[in-house]
Amino acid sequence: MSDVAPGQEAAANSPSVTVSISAIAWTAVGIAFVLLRLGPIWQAPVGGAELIHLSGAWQARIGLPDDRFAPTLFQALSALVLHGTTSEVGPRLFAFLATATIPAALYLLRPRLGNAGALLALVLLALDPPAISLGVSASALGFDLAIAIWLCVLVDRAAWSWWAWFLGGFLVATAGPLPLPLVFALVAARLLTAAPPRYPLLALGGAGVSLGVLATSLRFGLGWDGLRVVPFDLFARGFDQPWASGTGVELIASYGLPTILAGSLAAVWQLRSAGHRWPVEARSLDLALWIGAAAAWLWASSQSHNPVPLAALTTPLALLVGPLLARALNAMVRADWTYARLLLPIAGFAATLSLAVAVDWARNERVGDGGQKFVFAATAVVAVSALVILLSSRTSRPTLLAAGLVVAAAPALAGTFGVALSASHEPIPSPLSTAQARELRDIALETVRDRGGLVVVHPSLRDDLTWAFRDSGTIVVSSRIPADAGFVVWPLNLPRPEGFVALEGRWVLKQEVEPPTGGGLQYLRWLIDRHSVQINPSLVAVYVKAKE
Amino acid sequence: MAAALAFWAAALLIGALALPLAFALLRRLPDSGAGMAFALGLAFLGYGYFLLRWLSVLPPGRGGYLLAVAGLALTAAAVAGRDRRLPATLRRSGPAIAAAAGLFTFFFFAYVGFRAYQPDITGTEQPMDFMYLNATLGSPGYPPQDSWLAGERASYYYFGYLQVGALTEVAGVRASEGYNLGLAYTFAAAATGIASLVFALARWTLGSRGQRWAVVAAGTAVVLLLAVGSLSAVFEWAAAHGHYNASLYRAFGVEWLIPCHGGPTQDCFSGLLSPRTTSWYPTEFWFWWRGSRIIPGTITEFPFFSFLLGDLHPHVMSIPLVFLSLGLSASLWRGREALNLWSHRRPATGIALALVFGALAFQNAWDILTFSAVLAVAVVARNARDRPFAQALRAAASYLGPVFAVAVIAYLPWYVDFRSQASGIYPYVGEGTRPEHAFLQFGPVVLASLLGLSWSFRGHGRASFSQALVATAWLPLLPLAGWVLLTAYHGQTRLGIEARGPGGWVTLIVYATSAWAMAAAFLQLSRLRRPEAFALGLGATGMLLLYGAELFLIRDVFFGQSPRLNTVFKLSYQAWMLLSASGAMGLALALRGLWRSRARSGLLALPVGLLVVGGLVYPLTALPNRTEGFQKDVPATIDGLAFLARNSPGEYALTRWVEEHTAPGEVMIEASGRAWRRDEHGQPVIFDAGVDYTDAGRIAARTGRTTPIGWYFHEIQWRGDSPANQREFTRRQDLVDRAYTSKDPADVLAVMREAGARYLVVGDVELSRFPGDLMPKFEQFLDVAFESSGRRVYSVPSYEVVPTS
Repeated sequence: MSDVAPGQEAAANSPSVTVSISAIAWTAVGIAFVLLRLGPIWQAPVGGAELIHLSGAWQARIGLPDDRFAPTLFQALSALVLHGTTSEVGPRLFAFLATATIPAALYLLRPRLGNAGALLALVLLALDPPAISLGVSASALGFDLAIAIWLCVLVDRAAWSWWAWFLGGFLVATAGPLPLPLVFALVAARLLTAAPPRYPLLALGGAGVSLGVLATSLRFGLGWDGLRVVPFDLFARGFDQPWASGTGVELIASYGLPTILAGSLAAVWQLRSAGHRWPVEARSLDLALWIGAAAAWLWASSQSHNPVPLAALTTPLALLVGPLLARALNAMVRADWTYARLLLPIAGFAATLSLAVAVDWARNERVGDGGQKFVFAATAVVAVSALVILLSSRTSRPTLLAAGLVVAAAPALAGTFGVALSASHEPIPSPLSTAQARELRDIALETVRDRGGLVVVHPSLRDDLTWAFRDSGTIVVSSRIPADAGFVVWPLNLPRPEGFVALEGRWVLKQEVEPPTGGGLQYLRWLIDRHSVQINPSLVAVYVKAKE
Repeated sequence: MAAALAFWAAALLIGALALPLAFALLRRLPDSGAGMAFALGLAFLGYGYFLLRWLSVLPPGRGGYLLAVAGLALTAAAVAGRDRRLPATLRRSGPAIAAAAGLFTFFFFAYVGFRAYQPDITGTEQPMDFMYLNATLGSPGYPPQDSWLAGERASYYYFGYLQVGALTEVAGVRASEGYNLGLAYTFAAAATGIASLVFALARWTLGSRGQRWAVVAAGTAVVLLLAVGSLSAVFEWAAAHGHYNASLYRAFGVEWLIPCHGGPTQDCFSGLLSPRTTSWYPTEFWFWWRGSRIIPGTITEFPFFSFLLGDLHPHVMSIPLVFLSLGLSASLWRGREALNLWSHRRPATGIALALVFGALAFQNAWDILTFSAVLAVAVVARNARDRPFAQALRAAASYLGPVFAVAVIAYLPWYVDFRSQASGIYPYVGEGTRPEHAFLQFGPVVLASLLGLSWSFRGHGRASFSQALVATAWLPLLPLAGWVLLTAYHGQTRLGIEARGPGGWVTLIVYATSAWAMAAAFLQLSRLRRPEAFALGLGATGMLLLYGAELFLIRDVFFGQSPRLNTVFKLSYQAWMLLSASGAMGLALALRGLWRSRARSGLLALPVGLLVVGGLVYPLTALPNRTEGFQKDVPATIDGLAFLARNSPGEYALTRWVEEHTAPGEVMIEASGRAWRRDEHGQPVIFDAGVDYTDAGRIAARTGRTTPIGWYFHEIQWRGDSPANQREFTRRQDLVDRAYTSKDPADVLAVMREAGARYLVVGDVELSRFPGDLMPKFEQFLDVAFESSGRRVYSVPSYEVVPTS
């Protein structure tokens, strides 16, 4: 993490109007951070890892052993909350409350990141789509983001009392996998620099971890399940289970490009600076190793359907980019704007024209005729040329940041508001449990109440229906339809059972929102129209006993 | 190509992470152990994974392997953080690290290039190897299950499969690709390992001015180890083109190539006579196989043959680890201060040694004694430089005792399940190896090693060598005395003397004399602190192994028919590795002498060099034969199951379905391999009970799921030929066959219940083993879980009342 610029520190301590602006800015960003996460609590459909883990929590709540119950602290709390409610909102509120402390944690990190740096890091985290989705989801990883950020605070203020180390160890051992890259980085940095924390603190941290492992092995009181290191378990499951519709690569293209590109630039900049200061201290290595470990995880997960590694990378990148962005903004303001005043609007205008042509193509899903191609190319060349001219001037170069911010803002904000306001059409969270699945459960209960018989579900649909059919009394999971069946949910490809009539309708239990994978035009179309994504429904057949 | 690149990158990553460990352990080597970092990193990664899986700390699946990599990185960070000489070592070793990476890359992709033309995982024992690879990958618990004996844990030395599995998962490739890429890794890591060792020995001997010749020695070592083959290929080549002289061929013991007259017999060529080949190389199917069966009643495999054949066997996968162990021994031997119990004040080195040498047993049990003995001799020799022998011995024992104790304790979770098939040492009382066969098989490496004897006479006089000869006279005599005593004990002395035959005695004397001479030279030069001594020590050990295999045998399940089959096979393989290193030193240094000073002793290098060139005829002719001239009409691929997708898409789809839709550890009923038909009364009867080396157990082998019984005789080999085992394995075969031949649905369901199986497979093998109407109509009482092209997976119908609130 970067050092605090003396000027900024002075400004932060100065009792002038700057302080008020700073306070206002922190308050505004904090409120935005919270508001962007409020919507999904009630609106977002249950999907991805959340669907799996809520199903597991429900099974735990009714006392059924189920591998989908991953005994993190959050998952245990979810199971507890589900005793009082059958809605996903309750567990989500817990996740939200933990996530809502992140602005405070960032505020405490000001000495490390600088006031403006910490604030900008918070802005980046506030707008990060995977972080929004994960921060309010009732998956087993509900506390992960908050734990990772608070762990930074803990390490930054190593003199904190013993309980903080104990609690930190316990929380890490009972969390999901998202804090693992940070833990790896902290340990590796101290081993590399041969500068471990004091032994008593280490011992306390170790005791916390041991207690956490014991609690997860006991599944928080649900019974001994053998030794379970639950962050490791969930880390492994993320490679196999469908926690998102898109692969890691597709999720990066959909949500991570602005942060990862900015982070890469910042990392190169930071590495060049660090090259002159070798050997470095453990604290300086932390962030680099954190980013490295998270990037390795994301790389390894590139073909897995898991959004967590992306969030695990964008979090430290926000902490890296924030302070550097503050310096860059400062440099931009002080730069020579003589040429930029003219060239940036020209570039903006030309780029807008070029984009307008491309958007038209994207709407029509095909590239236009030669004339359009010429307009597109010519305006693009004008825009790029204007930027290259600015790039060639050392004094004007920082003004390019303005163009960069505008370019990055479009996909970033589209993703942010997509996930925050209209999550049912986003690849995260997905695959989703549909509202129709719950309606189907109501119809099933009504049917068997009126006509008698059993609700029968095919084994291949069992897991998909756990959450939707919660609190429905007793159902039968059978590969063959028993004679006393009254309402049957069956795979579409199997023949209709005799003595049953199909319930009219298009029954969708689960659906996958596909990320745009058809190239640049499809991606552009998705940016301007979030509802243009392809949705793959899992259709089932529903039968009721024919009246005799 | 993407799979190969990912695998290569994973191997480089693990090697790079191990560099700080290699520096700490092997800093004395000129390359600071860079060439051995691949083996070191993978061994530590594999051990960490094994231990943490056993302790249930790591989960199954890819994530567990990646966490183990993170553990390796933290270990490396801990070592690097304490190593004050790390920056200097890195600067010094930079070129060596680049060279090791380059050498690894070249050999890795060279092998991938070859294997892409012959990737099929089928035939010989490849299904067994694939089974163990998949078992280590997919086992829900550790130690891993035996996929061919549902409910039992593996009883084999499977550490190599575990390591290849680690690379497979870290790279994120399929197991069917990982199998072939694991071979490529082994080939490349073997090259860097021996190059690192021999470069070090040569550099120590020649000093920094001899850098170029050290490179030559390292290159020669790689050629001797991985390229040179049996000299029989020269005769094969000539015979294929119709050039054979009966007397000459008989003189060299290759009678089997002389065309048969008056009907085929065992010792003559009964195949196509004219022409034997349609190309410049012999095109007879698998002619090169005979090169690994030169000595009758034994297997005389050598590394090139292993890689050509493509069986991912423990003795092949262990090559890099063997050279790592030799590197560690060399490094310890090179040190100055005596080693004793107090040397463990800082225990890290001792623990690392224990993990590496303990891994030798886990990877290929035959290796542990041989290479631990090398370590012990190296430590004793180091200690003996500045103290009397008895004291040196005591100090060495106090140093090595804890190391070997930890080496056993660290691998206890494996030892608990391992049942060795060895049941004692017996004297060999059969026909001895004919000298001509020994020459064809080991000539190049043995004679190259013997060139090193010339160092003993250079400037030290023959007197000191004579003293050393006297001091080491017990080495050839003691085994011989042991053999006499053992044969006397078994009442077979006369038989042993007569059966060996004159040729066998000549070979024995040559082996004994060579071992004795090299051991004496080692002793003489070691006393003088001459670095060449270590190479001679390796040569002496190699010759002792060949000598020992002529006198003794380890009794195993082959005792009745081919009593010394495995003993000669495994010990001569070790000897080949040792003699390659020693021979490379001998040959390269002799050539250097010839080149620089026209030394007379160097003249001997010319005929030996010619023999080495002769040994290269084997790879030059066998490679195009194996790959059909690199002109196969199917696309080159590294996927070992691509052949199945081409030849039987339904079976392939079934296999993939099982892999993707059933839980790890699931029991599958699949054909036991015994073939059935109806007799004249319409009753089902077995007409072929052979299951080993067939496609029996192929679903378990290809997916890592378990089946009640796979290859019967292999299970006997792994678990012992006891009546109880025979009964149990036969019971399982009967049980499985009952499921496919019973007409009573309740009986089939009872079989599945008894086997703990939810699924029953009807694929190519079942359709061929239970033809016609032998099989019941499963669809009438089982669910069809999968179907493609008439291949099906059935599952037991399920009915479960599930509460939801």
